[in-house]
Amino acid sequence: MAFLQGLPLRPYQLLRLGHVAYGRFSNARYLSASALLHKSNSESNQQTAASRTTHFGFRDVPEDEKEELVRDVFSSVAKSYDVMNDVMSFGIHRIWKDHFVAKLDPGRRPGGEPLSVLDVAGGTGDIAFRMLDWATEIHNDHQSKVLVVDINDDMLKEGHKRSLATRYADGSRIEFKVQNAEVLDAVPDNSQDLYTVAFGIRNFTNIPAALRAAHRVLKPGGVFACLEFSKVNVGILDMIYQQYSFSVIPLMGQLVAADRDSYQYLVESIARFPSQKEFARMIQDAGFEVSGDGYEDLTFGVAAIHTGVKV
Amino acid sequence: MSVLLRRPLVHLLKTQFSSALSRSYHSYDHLPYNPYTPSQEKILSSALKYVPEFGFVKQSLVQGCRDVGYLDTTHAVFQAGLFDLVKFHLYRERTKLAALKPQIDEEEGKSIGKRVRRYCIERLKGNELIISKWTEALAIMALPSNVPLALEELAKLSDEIWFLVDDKTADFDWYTKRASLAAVYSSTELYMTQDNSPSFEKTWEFLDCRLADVHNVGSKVSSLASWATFTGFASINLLKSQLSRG
Repeated sequence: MAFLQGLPLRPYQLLRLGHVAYGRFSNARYLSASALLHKSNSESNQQTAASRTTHFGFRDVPEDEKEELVRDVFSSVAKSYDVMNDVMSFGIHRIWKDHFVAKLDPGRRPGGEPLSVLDVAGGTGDIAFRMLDWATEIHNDHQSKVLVVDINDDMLKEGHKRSLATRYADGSRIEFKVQNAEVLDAVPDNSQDLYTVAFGIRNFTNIPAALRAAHRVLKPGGVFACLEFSKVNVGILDMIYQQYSFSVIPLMGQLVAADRDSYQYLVESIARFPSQKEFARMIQDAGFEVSGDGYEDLTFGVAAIHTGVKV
Repeated sequence: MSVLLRRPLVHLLKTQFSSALSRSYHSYDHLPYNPYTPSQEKILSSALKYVPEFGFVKQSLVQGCRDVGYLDTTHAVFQAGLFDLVKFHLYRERTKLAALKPQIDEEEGKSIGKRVRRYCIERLKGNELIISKWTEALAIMALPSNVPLALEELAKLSDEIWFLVDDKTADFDWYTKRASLAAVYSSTELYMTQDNSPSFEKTWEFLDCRLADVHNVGSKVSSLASWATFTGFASINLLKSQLSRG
């Protein structure tokens, strides 16, 4: 599919532009984004620093708009988030998340302190509940806390609603806050034992800034851990995977959640995310130390776990 | 000038692209490649101190992190978890051997066999403290995902020993020598886990028997090879003479 990445517009995008009433992004903002794009192409000499672009899926959008576009995607999928993940990964995302938590093995140990965990882009609490359960059941730890932050209030509301049905309903061990991962202004320096981000980091506008923020809030010795879609490392499987993600997933999104555009964005954002090695490099550039290659492939690299330690 | 420049430049490259510089060949001009950062070395060596007590378990790793001033969660950075602890032990004990070269060269003389035996013993002594827990490490190494790296480490040990006895083989023996020493070493290592004799006398006996086996087989193989070569050439010459006679 690589040859398609260079094209400014893909066929379905032309289709989308042609039908004004089609899909979520055919609203005023989307049209203004493409209008801006058009303008910046024809009058590039007028481009200023304020209109620097970043990628949103395969499209280039002004940096200040990406945040909102991403928010729209997740607002629209908040309620069907689990269904969406199940559809996209055949339910394997549950195994990946369990493995992720088991690998981090969070919890207070004999003679140790309770943990402060920051779960970034963790809106629906998927990872947070798993970590609390792990700490409680494996380490008999009833004190460690998780702060769930997300840029999207709808996702956090969904998470909060879910937390009311768990044993953490009183809110003493789990807290939900709207935060921009690139800033994290409500989280003090050197305050967290563990920073987790699962299937979130590829949606950030400025990943290096988010990594630096992670480095800032972690205590020395604190661990940055990221679970994210990555690059399949077996050629033939990659071909199958690309075919699957670009033809099947958007179609399933349309059928299951009546929202093709959000799913199209998700597969494009996965394709745009750096490879395992590049991302490990970015983690090191933010000041983290990694062990070995710094990552572990899951299911031939469909997803990968990256870790780094602040020293 | 180039000599003066080389080291700082290499040092700079090493900090920038540390993973890209794992050489697949030996260089006398450079320090051996160290895959561990100083903080990782500190954590893992202090974790190994807890292995005789707890074994190759998470608790040793967590205690190791704690002892050098890191957090309990720091252990999560080790991608392979406990296998990282095992690998570090293997790496550390293997790289210790080089420092013994002057002493072994002096004490064991020129005999390659004697020196190989001595290096094996020195390396096995590296397992002495943790021998009661070594079967746990073997179990971790036997996990399918860990087997390739565990075998690679064994191959590196075998290669290191042949290198240290100044073996300059450049023919097919290069492979057979390394393979047979790896087989001898790993079987002796396994024997050692069950050895209760004082100061592992039985293990050294076992090692001598295995080395003698290899020597016997080796000399038989080489006599077979010379016989085959001789017979081959003789047959060709016989054919030639028959053909030239018409």
